[in-house]
Amino acid sequence: MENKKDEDKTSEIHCLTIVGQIEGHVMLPPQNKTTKYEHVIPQLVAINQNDKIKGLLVVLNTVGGDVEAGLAISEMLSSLGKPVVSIVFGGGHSIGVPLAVASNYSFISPTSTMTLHPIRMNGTVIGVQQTFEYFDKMQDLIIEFVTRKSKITKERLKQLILDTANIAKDVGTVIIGEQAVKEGIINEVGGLDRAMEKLKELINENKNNIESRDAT
Amino acid sequence: MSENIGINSMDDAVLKTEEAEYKGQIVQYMKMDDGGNKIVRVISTDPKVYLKKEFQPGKVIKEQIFENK
Repeated sequence: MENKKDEDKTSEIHCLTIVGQIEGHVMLPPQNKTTKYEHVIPQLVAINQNDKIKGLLVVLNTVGGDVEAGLAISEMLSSLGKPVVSIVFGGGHSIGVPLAVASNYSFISPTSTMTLHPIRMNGTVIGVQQTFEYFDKMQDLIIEFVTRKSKITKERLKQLILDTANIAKDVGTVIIGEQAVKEGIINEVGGLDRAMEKLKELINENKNNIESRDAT
Repeated sequence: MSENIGINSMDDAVLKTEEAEYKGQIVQYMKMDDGGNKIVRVISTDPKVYLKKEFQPGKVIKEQIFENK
């Protein structure tokens, strides 16, 4: 009986850890550590549906991965209907950038890095104009999402993504902790404790909003 | 060269995990030679679950991992 009671209780704040690669439509070999979209998407729906859960903390330490899966999770986080705070520990590269900015408030630890670079494709690539146009469209979607959810301008983000002077033999920019905040991508440099504090603050604000709305 | 392939395929076998529901949570586990199941990772957003003893990574479960309700 005691056990049953324990099971029914769920934490008020849930934590989504997005670690390793983002795994989407294509299954990755077992050497890769992944966060799978088939796990994350239903979890987010469950969090939205469960009234006991007041807020979500997203912990990111990812190298990137499937663009569509990353964008799907990002859009779901930004439309969760509950306060979401994200924090980047270690790295939030590539598609980890939209995931980091999808929250209501984002943090980055001082030693974390984020790589901004143009999207890439594995496997068979058909060398036609249309492939390039598709890439361009997908890149625009990501840029649109990041600029919608953060303070960076479209021009500046494009400039960082297409920079050739920053990474050896590659196009893009690596930004570190404080720099991500200066560029306006992330809201604040901080740690776990500060992120939790902010999430609780947002939960309280949310509660007050609902109460005042119900009262009128 | 053939040695290399041998090592790689062995690594893959070692790393192979399966998923099942165990005590109400989705867990990734590894099948061991002696028939036990070793917990690799629990998939949950509830931070409380990670503190439970039965879901600690490395814990070996002797019984069938699927829950019989």
